[in-house]
Amino acid sequence: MDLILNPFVTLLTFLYSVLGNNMVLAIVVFTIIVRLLMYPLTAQQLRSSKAMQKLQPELKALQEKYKNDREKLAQEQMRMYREYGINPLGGCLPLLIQLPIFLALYQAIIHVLAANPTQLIDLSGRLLIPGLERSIPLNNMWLGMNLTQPPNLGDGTGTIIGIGLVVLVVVTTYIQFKVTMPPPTPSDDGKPNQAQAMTQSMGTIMPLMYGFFALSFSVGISIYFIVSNLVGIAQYALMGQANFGNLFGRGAPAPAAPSGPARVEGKAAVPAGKPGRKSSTRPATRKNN
Amino acid sequence: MFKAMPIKRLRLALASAAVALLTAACIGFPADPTWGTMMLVGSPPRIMFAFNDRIVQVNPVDGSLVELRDSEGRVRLDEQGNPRVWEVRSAGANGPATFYTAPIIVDEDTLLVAAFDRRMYQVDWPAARILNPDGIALAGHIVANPLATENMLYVPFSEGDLVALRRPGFSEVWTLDTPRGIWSEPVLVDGTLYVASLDHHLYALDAETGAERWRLDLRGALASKPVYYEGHLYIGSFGRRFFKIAPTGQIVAEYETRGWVWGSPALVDGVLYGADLDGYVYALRDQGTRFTPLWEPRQVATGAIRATPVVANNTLIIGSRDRMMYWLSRITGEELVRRQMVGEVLGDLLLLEPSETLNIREPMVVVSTMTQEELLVAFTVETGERLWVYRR
Repeated sequence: MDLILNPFVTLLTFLYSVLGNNMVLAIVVFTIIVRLLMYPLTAQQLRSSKAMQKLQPELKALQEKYKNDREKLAQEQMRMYREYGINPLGGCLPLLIQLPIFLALYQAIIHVLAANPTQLIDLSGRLLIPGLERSIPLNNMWLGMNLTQPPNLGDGTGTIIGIGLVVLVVVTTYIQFKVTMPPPTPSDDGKPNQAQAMTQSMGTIMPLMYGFFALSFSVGISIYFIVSNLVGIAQYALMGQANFGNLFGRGAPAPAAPSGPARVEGKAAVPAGKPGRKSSTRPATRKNN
Repeated sequence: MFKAMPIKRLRLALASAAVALLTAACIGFPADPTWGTMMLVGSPPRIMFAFNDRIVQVNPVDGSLVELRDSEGRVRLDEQGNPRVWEVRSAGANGPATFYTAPIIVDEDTLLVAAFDRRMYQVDWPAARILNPDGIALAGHIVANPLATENMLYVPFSEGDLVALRRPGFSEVWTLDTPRGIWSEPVLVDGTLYVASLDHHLYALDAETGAERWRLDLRGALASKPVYYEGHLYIGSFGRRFFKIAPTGQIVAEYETRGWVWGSPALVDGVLYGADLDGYVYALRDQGTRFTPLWEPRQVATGAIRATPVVANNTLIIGSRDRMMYWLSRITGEELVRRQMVGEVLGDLLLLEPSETLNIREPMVVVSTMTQEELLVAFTVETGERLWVYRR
C-alpha cells in the first residue's frame, strides 16, 4: 500500500504548498487529479457493465432453460460470455484495481492531516520530495473547523457548515448512485426483479451510510467524498452515460430484447436471441441509451 | 471453482469484499494518539507512568505495581482481601479518560493530571483517587508535559495556545497564541520561558508577563523541548537541523541531518548526541560557532528514533520505532548490543542510578512502548540485560 500511498501523500503535500497553503483546495485538486487518472478504468468498467446488460435477455433465457441444472447453466453462461467476447468480471476487475487507489487517496488525506504525534511520526517517512517538510504541519483549519476532526455540531456557525457538509455528502452520493445506475430491465410480470430491488435499496442505504461516515470522520474526508462524487457524476455525464432521469423516477427502462443484433466490444455483431451462433457479416445496429 | 460458481454470486462476493475493505479503510485503525510518559517521583522513588486509560506507580526494583498503604504503613486491601495498588483511572460522566502526559505535583498530597480528552483532574496522591471525577474542561488537547514552578503552571495546548496560570488558584495570567500548536514542554531559564512551536518558531517570553522577547524561525516544525546547556539553547527541527542558539535569539551554529529531528538532544562533555526520524544517530562536538562530528552519523535503526538518547558512562542508549533498543559506544558510535522489543519505542527513556533512596543494584534504563505486553521494560545500562517487565 505504501507504493501508492507515499506518492499520494507527497502529491497532496506538494499541492498544498503550491496552492497557497490551502488544504481544502489541495484536497479538491488532488481528488480531481486522481479521479481523472482513473478515468480509463472507469470507462472500461462502464463498457463492461453495458455489454452485460445487453446480454440480459439471452442470459435470462438460459436461466429459464437450465433452471434445474446449475452446473450446466454455469457452463452455458461461460460459453456465451466467450462467444460474445465478454469478461463477466470485466466490471469488477477495474473496480478492484481502482479500490486500492481510492483507499490510498482516502488514507493520504488522513495521513497528511496528521492531528497527533503518532500520525505525524508516520507522516515523516512518506514525503518523497525533499523540502516538503517545510510545509509541515499543514494548516488544518477551514471556516473555523478543524479538518482533522468530525464536524462540531454544537458550535454556532460551525454547526451550519458542518450540517451542510453532511447533507452535501448524502445528496451527492445519492445523485451519483442514481445517475450512474443503468436503466431497469422490465421483467415479464412488470415488477422489478430481485436484483433491481436490491439495487434500489442500495441507493437508499449507501447515501445514508456515507452521511453517517461524514458525521463520524474528519471534515477533510467529507470534502473528499463530496468532490469525488461530483467528479464521478461529471465523468459519467461527459461519457453520455449519466441517467439523470433516474433522479426523478423517469429513467427509461432498457429494452426487453434488442431489436437488432447486439454489438459487443471487440466482436462483430451477433444476432439477438440466438445464443451460440458465430458472428455474421451483417453490420450491427447501435442502441441508444 | 470460479467457473462452477454462479457469476452473480461471485460478483456479489467481490462487491461485498470491496465494501468491507472500503468500510475498514474509512473507519481506520484505532491507535493511541501519542506515547506514554514516565517520571520518577516520591520517596522512596517510584516510576509514575501515564499511558492510555490509567496512571500507575511502578517499583523500579522489580517492575511491580506500588501498593497503597495507610498512614501506618499497612497495605490497603480491597473487598476481596487483595492488596490495592496505586492506579488512577477516570470513569466520570464524560467516559474513561486517557492520559499521556506527566502529572503535575501540586503538593505532597495532590496531583493534577491533564487528560487527552481536554479535561484536567485533581488526584489524591496517597490514595490514588480522583477528587473531581468529571474533571475541569480545557480549551484543547494536551500532548506535551505542562511546566510547573513554585508560582506558575504553563500548559501547552496541541492546537495552538500556551496558557500561563498562577498557582495556587490557577487563574489565567497570560496566553501565547501560535497558529500550529505546541507539542513540547517549555523550558524556564532565569525568568525567560522558551517555547518551541510547530509553527517553526522558538519563542522567548517573559515568564511572568508573557511579553515576547524574541522569536526565531528555525525553518521547520519544532516538536521537542529545547535543552539549555552552558549558556545556550540546543534544539532539533523537522527542517533537518540541529541548532545552537544564543539567549539573545541568534543562531550560533547549525548542523544538517538526514531526517526530521523530533527528540531533544543530549549534551554531555561538550558533545551533542541526537537522532532523527530516519534512524540516524549523531555525535557532534560543539566548537563554538560550528558543530563537527565526533564520528560519522550512523543509520543505527531502520525506524524513527524519537526519544532523546541516554548517555551513561561511555554508552549511548537508543530506542527506535523499529522495535529495537541499541547500545552504542559513545566514543566511536559502534554498536555494542541490541535488544528486540515487542512494541515500538517512541517515549523517552528513563535513566536510574543507584542511590541511598533508590535501592537498585546497578544503573538501569527504563523504556516504555505502546504495547500492552511490554509497557515498561528495564535493562541494565552496561550489558543490556533485561531486568523486569511491566505489562497489563
